[in-house]
Amino acid sequence: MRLIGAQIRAQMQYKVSFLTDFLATFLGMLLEFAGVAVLFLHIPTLGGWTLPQVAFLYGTAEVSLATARLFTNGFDAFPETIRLGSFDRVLIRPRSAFLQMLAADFSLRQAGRVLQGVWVLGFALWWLGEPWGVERWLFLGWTLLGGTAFFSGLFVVGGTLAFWTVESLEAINILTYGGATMASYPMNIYATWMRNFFLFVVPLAFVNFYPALVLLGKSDPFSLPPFVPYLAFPACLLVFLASVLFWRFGVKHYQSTGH
Amino acid sequence: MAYIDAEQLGKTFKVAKHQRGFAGALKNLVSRQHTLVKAVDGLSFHIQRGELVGYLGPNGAGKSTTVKMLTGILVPTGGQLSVGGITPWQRRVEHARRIGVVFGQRTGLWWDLPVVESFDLLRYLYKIPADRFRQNVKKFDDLLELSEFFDTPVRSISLGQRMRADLAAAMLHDPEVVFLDEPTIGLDVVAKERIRTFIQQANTRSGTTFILTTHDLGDVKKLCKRVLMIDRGRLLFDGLLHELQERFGDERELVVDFSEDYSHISVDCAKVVHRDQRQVTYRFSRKTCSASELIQVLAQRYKIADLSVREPEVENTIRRIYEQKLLQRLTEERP
Repeated sequence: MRLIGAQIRAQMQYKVSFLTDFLATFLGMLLEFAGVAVLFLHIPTLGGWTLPQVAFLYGTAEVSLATARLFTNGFDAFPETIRLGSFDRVLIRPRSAFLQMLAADFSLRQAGRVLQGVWVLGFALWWLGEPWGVERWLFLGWTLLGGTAFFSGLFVVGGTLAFWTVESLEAINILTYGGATMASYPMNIYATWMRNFFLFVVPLAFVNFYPALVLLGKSDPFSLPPFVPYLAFPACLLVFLASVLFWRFGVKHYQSTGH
Repeated sequence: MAYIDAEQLGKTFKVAKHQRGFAGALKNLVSRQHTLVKAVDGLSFHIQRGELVGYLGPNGAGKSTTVKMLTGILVPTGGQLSVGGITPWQRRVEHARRIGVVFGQRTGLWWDLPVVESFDLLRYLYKIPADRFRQNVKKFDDLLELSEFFDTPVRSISLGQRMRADLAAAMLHDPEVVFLDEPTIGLDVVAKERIRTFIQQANTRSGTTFILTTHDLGDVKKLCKRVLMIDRGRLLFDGLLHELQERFGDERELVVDFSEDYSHISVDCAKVVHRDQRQVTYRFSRKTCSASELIQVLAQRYKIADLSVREPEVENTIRRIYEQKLLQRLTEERP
């Protein structure tokens, strides 16, 4: 925890850069959503989803991704770390390497994205109008937590790959950033094979789509059993835990090959 | 049971063979060929608590690999190792708590933060009790004058200051053993002396064990009574520095100040290497004659005002060992 505080202080040392970054990311995301909103000027619904409902998807995806990024930035920068031989420093310290990585490059600039996601989410909820009971808020909380765990897991896997390949595979970005963009729209607009892939293989649909069905009171276009949305959090958690195991495997590999 | 016990320690790497040319690159994609490189081979040594040992060897000899195994970063492929009763890579976190490491070429501190904040983070990481921490910081400040740059970010301080900070940082948690990898590299003479003095005092006052990997023989001369020498992964020498000198440093110099000007000052058993009016430097080896023999010969022939004997430079001794591969593999004798 202290390490994170230190990182924040370190980044705030570069005050001007920090502020401009913050504003830039915030505005950038605003514009992106504006682009989505424009879409709705032409069509009333997208696959049966209204603008505020899509905004809900967008907001939850964005918050999950950005929060994940906040903590796993160290994994994103990992290829560089390995190349410079800076990982040895981590192994010298009396703490788990994984925890050190989480705190390592805590990126405050992502805070802009988180805020923007929250803003969109808030807007969506306000527009939807219905008052929510405690249960729904809690469920939303679990959803966001799950989404963060999911994307964090993907970032961890992406970084761990640096133990084997010098370049981190850009493919991971397809799943994370691409995935978040994809999750910003209702799953039923996508081709069947994509839907199945993102439900059973890389369970992106559990990040926000399935929980949204429950929260927004929509029926499942894929007619899966009604308990499926409640699998969202466990599924995301599994992804995260699997990534931690993969990371530990990677560290073992490093300790035997030296790179 | 010594504090550090290494028994037939070995580390073999699989290095991918790089094929040349385009056809080679294609072949590389399909089937990788590997060669086995024995970075460390059958290393055995025992180090007691409180020793200050120098670890020498030419580049690529296997020193870093050994240190990485000792610090728990790397897992050996053969043999056994225990440091303070623990196998480093098996109980990494526990081991990390007891050791300090200084990498000469990389810092262990946080680059953008003031030095004092790095120290605070270390206090938290190593769970150092507050009063012990304060004591140590004060002690290191006294010895290394850290307060000059306490509040300056690490990226802004000079190399000499950074080394001092790194050294203090490595010792804040009172480690049992400290591994130093080129701690004086790139430093000016004054800075080197400061670092060496600090290490010496830390060793004698606190009984901290030090393993010093260095190419700087000034470090070795000042600090290490015992040295381990490694080349191509094998231990070549494990003993006292002066033993190394005696075995291999056979050339010494005699500097003579004559009372009068002599035109012929050559002798059979020694070579004149320098002459400056009445001061002549002779170089001789124990094979040809002893110092006293040479002095007697000169004293009989000439009037001498003053003379001094110079011991062989450690640098020359070690250079000859590396270049001429004078040391064959050391066979282990159990103490």
